[in-house]
Formats: sequence, structure tokens, C-alpha cells
Amino acid sequence: MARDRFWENSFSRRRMLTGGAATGLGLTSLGLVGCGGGGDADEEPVDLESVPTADATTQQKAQSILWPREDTTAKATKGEIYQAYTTADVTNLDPLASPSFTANSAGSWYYPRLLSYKPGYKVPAKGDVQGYLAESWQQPEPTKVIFKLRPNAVWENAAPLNKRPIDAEDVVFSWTKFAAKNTSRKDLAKLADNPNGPVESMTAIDKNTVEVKLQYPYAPFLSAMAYSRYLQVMPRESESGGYDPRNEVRSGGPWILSNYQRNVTFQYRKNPDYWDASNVLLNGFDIPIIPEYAAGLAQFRAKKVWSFAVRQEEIIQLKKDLPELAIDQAAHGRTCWITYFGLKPGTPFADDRVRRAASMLIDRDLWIDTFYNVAEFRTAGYPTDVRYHSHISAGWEGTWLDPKSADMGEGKANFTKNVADAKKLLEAAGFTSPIETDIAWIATGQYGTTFPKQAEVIKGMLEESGLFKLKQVNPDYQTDYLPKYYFAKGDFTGIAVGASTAYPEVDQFLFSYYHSQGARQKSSYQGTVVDAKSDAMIEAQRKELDTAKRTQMIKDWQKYAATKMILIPYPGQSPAFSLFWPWIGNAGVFRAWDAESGRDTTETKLWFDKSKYTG
Amino acid sequence: MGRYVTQRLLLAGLTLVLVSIIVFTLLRVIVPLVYGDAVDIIAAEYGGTDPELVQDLKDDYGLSDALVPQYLRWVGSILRGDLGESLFNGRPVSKEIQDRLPVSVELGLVGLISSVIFSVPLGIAAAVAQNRWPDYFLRTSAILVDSIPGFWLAIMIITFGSVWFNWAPPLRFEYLHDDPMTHLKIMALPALLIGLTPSGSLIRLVRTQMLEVMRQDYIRTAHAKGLSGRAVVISHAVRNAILPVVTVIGLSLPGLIAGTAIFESIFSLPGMGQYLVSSVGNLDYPVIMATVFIFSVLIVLSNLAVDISYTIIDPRIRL
Repeated sequence: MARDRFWENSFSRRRMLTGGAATGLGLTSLGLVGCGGGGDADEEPVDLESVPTADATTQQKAQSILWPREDTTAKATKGEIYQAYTTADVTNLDPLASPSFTANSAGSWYYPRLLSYKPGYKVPAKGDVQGYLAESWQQPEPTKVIFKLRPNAVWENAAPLNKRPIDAEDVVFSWTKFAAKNTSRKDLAKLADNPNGPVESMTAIDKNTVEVKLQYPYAPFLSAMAYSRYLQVMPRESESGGYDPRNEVRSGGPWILSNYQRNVTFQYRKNPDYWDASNVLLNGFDIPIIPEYAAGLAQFRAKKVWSFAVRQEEIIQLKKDLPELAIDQAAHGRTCWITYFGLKPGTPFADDRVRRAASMLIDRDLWIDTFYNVAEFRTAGYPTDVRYHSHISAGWEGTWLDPKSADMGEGKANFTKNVADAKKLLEAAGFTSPIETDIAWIATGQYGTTFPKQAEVIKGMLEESGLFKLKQVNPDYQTDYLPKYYFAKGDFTGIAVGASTAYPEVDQFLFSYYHSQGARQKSSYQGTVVDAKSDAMIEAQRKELDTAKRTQMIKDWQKYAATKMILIPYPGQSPAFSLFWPWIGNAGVFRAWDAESGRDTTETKLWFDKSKYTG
Repeated sequence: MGRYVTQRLLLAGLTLVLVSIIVFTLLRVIVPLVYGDAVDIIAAEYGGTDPELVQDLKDDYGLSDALVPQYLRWVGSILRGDLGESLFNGRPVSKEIQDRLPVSVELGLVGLISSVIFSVPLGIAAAVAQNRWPDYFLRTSAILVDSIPGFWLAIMIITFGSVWFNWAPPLRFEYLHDDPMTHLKIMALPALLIGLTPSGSLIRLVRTQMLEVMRQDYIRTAHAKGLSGRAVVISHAVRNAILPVVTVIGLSLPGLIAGTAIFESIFSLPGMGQYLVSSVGNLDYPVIMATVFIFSVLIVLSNLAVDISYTIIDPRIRL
């Protein structure tokens, strides 16, 4: 219903785009082209606030069916294997040297980190850190951090480690390998080709003490040490031939990889030698690889999988079909995908007026409604919370600046659909006829099955006004998209739509995507044409250790970025709903900062509530 | 007979040499030119397109040498039974194939056998009942089976199985030698669905061949001799009609084995198809070259088996 509204509106836009075969074909190919409604290019944008909400009784009823997040630890029984699933296999099992993040994701089950994120108790986590491998830490100087390791942390009881204590040499070995081989090394390590990296060195002071030297006071450092995509600690024997880390694992965390069949399944079992094993409730997790959505949904319905990422548009109906399913609402996500521009010399997108005009053509409410099913949830009485992304995700509580609020300043206008003003901006920039260029996105499933539709809608919205005439390009993800768009530092023609990496701290996103020296930057042609003000603001905030001051600095940067519209952030989001079977004890009670960081803090607290089992 | 088989074996060997040259040229020359190189993918994942990094990676993976030495090294390795290692995880390809090929062969073989068991009798029945309602029904059904993609049917069965019967296929794969019953439960449905794919064509082919044979003089003679209809069909018609059918069946087998990827994905099976598909995504040369070569060997062997079976089914071929 709500989903169709974009396509209904696009009926008139189709008429305007009769010359654009690719767009027409694209809309039709989705099978969602509407047959009614209308309006024209100057139609009023959709206002989600005007969508009628359910009456009080319906809302109360919907609220009452949300999972109560009851802490049942006191009555928990130990044992049983959680039946989970995943959609993709890993490239290999070495999180520090794999060319893909998938190894980090798997590694978070068995390789510990120095720190961990404190889980939220019935509320979303805030990103605060707690000890994991490190028992304690101190920061005697702004540029020096000392970690004391747990004396009782040991590696798995398997050759060649056989319960050897995890020591400072393992941490230093892992850091050295990370700085040399990890795909994210430039986010942290100071290197010859990355002089801005905050971490200068890690040194083993004694068996249980690690000293980290920072190049400058780096506010998010502790958070970075808790992040699963950075420093996972591996045994040094993994390098010296003790075992092949690409295909084998030696756990130092709560779970052991007991069985792995490529393309088929992962099986994790409780590590009896984990220092906190007595507080791990489940015996393990079975995680078959189910790439097909329909197959996964069938397994979920048949209760062979206990939780499943049901598409938002199917949540309400599935809950009606299977009323015993539990439903919970997630916190706002902290990733913000992007529409970014080729910045080769001579490109129209070097002019911020063109970029701002493009942003003004996006109907954010309509886009959010289309992909988050907001109107339908609202009508059914489910709680929704629609937020626009600024140049950081709307999920960064505290630091996110609402583009709809007056605090955004003059940049606020760039987040509002306004075709007339967009046209004026383009005319002022010297463009009196439509800008003809390419728009690229991957049509394959690496970013999920919804992503190509989202990109297509963005293209449609840009073209709807007649101010842009775009040729759709669908590059191959590995060979074309990554090297020629995503990592090209502006060296491409036209516009690209893509995903962005999830980070534990907003600084890493700011630096990586917006600083001229960032590894994934989309703001500067080859790092040569520099927005010095933006760079300086980004550098300043990462060195500010006063939280309140730093938050204000990040907000100031968002205001600045909004006036320049360096890139167009994804329109926005509403918290997603999830469905699961009610026998997962403590589900939603201990809430992880991100999915991968909770293996030692939230997964260890789950238990199998046999009294509710109906499988 | 011996000369015939020797000739076919020599031709098979020559074919494999040609296949190895084509596979190598495609993967190491054509694909990098028009599509991309594995080292570019790995370099991109590391966040750089730095030529030095690319060169280092090429050196690491032995891709810097001239193509002819690379080809000779690859062929030499194959002859020694070494199919190389994956660029992305370092696993020996021969070990992976050793684990996965039996799964795919089993799927393809069971699928083909089930297809033959159903299709041949139904094709014969359609021919015998030509232009009557069983024939119309079977022909329509055959076209229907031809039109339905097997993977779509698999998803429908799984979806409605879960909605109506709270059923879903087993998730945990077990090898035949570890747990035969569970293995059977896991493999039965995908194998039958794989077998369904060629069934429609097979029914129609058997029917056509039977009709052609049934019009021959010797069939009329057999009827004139007073043989029963059943005896004429079974003893005289089927054997002569089956030759082209055997060709199609034989040549279908490698296709069925190689074409199991989507079923392996839907049913979470560790076969060759998924292995090849995931490697193609990464342009993991050693894996792609080895698996394509193995599939080529299967095709050549199937052809050989078909050729030899001719001599058994039709003795005239020995002459």
C-alpha cells in the first residue's frame, strides 16, 4: 500500500520520461508501476507527518504485542543450541588479513578484542566500552594508553596452543598484522602512506601489559579497540605455521568454531576454557548458510530457524499469520548509505549548487515511506520514528543533527524537496538544459535485494523534474564498482549510489568518507582538490577529548556539510521491526552496540526457554 | 570393438588438451582483458589500486610469469593431481573437489535416473496411445514440466510446505557414509527436482522415437506374426527407439551435475555448483579453471560412455 505510493506518483513522471527507455523499463521490471494517482513534476512532496495514525485503541493493541524484553536470567537453564542462520559464506577465516569484512564478522565469534561494547539493558547500547581481553586500562597521557590483560585468558585447548595464556605478544603480533594487511588499517594505523593514522605503535611492556602510543589525542580510540572489524587478537602461532588461519580457528573467546562446511554451515560451541564460561548460557549456535530469502523464511516458519530478518513489508502479515511470533523493534541503525558524485575536472558536480539542486529533488518522506513501510506500520498502530539522515546517520544519537530542525541552519533547505529552487540553482550554475550523465549502482545482491530498487527510486526522483537526464549503469561489484567508483576518490563520470561501511564511532565515518585523505573519501578528486574547512573540522573533532565540545564540533561540521552537500546521504530511516520465536530467553534484553560486537556480551546471555517451545 | 574404443579414447584425450588450452586462454587472457583480474579485486578490497600492490599480489600468486610457462605449470600440476589452491583462502582445490564432486554427481545421477524411470515409460505410453486422451495429457504435462523452472518449483514447494505443513527441508548436511537416512532426506527432494528439468523433453523425445519406429515394416511384420502389442513394443520397438534417447540421457548428465548450483543454494548443499559460482564472483582462477576442467572431463567421459553404449545397443556400429 504505502510502497505503491512512489510508483503511483511516478505514473505522471513516466509520461515525462517517455524518452528514457531505461527508466521506463526499470520501473516496469519491478512490477510495481502504479495505475492511478498522478500529479506532475511540481507536485507537493509527500509529508509523512500527514499520514493518519491509528486510533488510540489500535495503537495500544499494537504496543501490547511488542516483545516485553523481560530479563529471565534468574530462571534460565543452561544448554541447547540456538538455531540461527546467515545469508553468506566467508572469503576465509582470517579476520586480520582477509580481503573481505566477512572474516571479521565470523572472527568476532572466536577471536577476542581488547575491549568490548557495554550492552544496553532493555534499551539501545550507547557505545560505551568495557573490558574484554583487557581487564583494565588507563590513559596516563592523552597520547598513551596502557592495557592490562586478564591473567586467566587462554587460547582454546587445541594444538599447537593447548590452553596457552593469551599474552601481550599476541596483541602486538595482531596489531602488526592488522597494520600491514587489514583492509581497515588506514582508519587507525599511522603508516608511510597514511600519515594521519592515529595509532603510532603498540608495545608489549610485560606478559600482561600493552602500551599504545597515539600520534595525537584520539577521542574514539577506546571505541575502536572494541570494534570487531579492527583489532581482533589472534595467536602468534597463526603466522609461524602452527595452523593455517585462513582455514582454521583457535578460539580465545566464548565460542569455538566446531564445524565449518564451506557454503553450507557454521557451528559454534561454548568454549569451556573461556574465562567467563560459567556465565555462558547456551551450548552453541548452529548457523546454516541460507542465501535464498524464500528458503530462509520457510525454515523460520517451520521453526527450524529461531529468528529471521523478515522484510519490513511482510512483518505485519506474518505476525497475523503466526500470532505466537514475538515482535521487537530495533534501535535506529547507524549506517548512512550514499549518493555520491564523480569529481573529475570539468564535472558539473564540482559546483556545490549542482549537488544541492540534486539533493532538493529527493522526496525523502516518500522514499522512507516506500522502503520502511512507515504508513502501513503507523496505520496498524505500530510505533514509528522517521528521521532524515544528515551527512551522518540518524542513528548517531546525540551527535546527529536533524536536517528538519532549525539547528541545521541554511543547509536545511537542501534536505527539502523543492524543484523550483533546484532549477534556480542549476540556472545560476549555468545549466539551462538537463544535465545528461551516468548514474551507477550495482544490480547484484551484495548490498541486499532492496538496494537496487532504492537506487532506482533515487534515479527516478532526480529525473522526475526534468533537470537531470541519467543513463543507468550497473557495474560489476568486484571488478568495476569497487575499484572504479567506490575507491576511485572521485575519478569517475556522473553519479553513483552505494553502501557505506558500518563504524563503531562517527569519527571513522567522517574521516573515511569526507576527509580528503580518507580511504573511502567521496569529497575530493584524488585527494587533490581539498575542502580545507571540512578537513580541518574533521581533524579537530577527533582530537577533542571533551565529549560535549566534540559533539558540538560534529554538529557544526554537519551544518557545514549540509550547505555544501558534499554528497547526498540516503534520505533517512525508521527503526525496523524483527520477528522471532518466543523461546529465545532474554531476547532484546541485553542489546548490542552492533551485531558483531555482541558475541561476548549478548549472545552469552541468551538461553532456550523450553516452556515456550512449540517446534 | 577394441579399435573403436581406442579411437574414441584418443579423441577424448585430444579434446581434453584443447579444452585445457581454451579454459586457460579464457580465464587468463580474455577475462582479464574484458572483465578484470583477481588481483585487482583483492587490491580493491584492500582499498587501493596502487600498481605496486597489484604487482606484489601477482608475484605472490605466481601470475607474473609469461602465459606459456603458466599454462605448462598448470597442466603439469593437473597431471600430478594437484589442481592448485584458492587465491582467497589457500585451500587445495583438489581437496574441495574431492568433498564436493560426490554431492553434485549424486544429485545429477539420482536426478537423471529418476527422470529416466518416469520419462521413458510415460513417453512409450504416450506413443502407444497416440492421439487419444492419455497422449494429449502426457504431452501437455511434458510441455508444462518443460516450462516450469526447477528452482521456482523448489521455492514453491519449500514455501507452501512451511505454510501448509510446517515442513522445511533439513538444514544440516550429512554425508552418506556418516548418516545415510538423514542424507537421503536431504538429497531426495533436490535430486527429484533436478531430474524434473529434462523429463519433459525426454517424454516427448521417447514418444517421437517410438512413433517413428512403430511405423517400420518389421513392427508390422511382428504384429502379423501374431505377437502381442506389449511384446512388439517391448521386444522390438523400444530397443530401436532408445538409441537417440541414450545419447540425450548421456549428454544430459554433465549438464545436470554442473547445473546444480541453484538447488545447492536453495537446499544448502556443499556441491560443485556453489563452489564454482562463488569462485566466479571472485575470479578465483585456480578454482574456476579446475572446476571447469573437471566438468569438461565429465562431458568427455559421458560422450565416451555414450559412444561405447552404442556398440552394445546397436551391434551394427561395431562394423
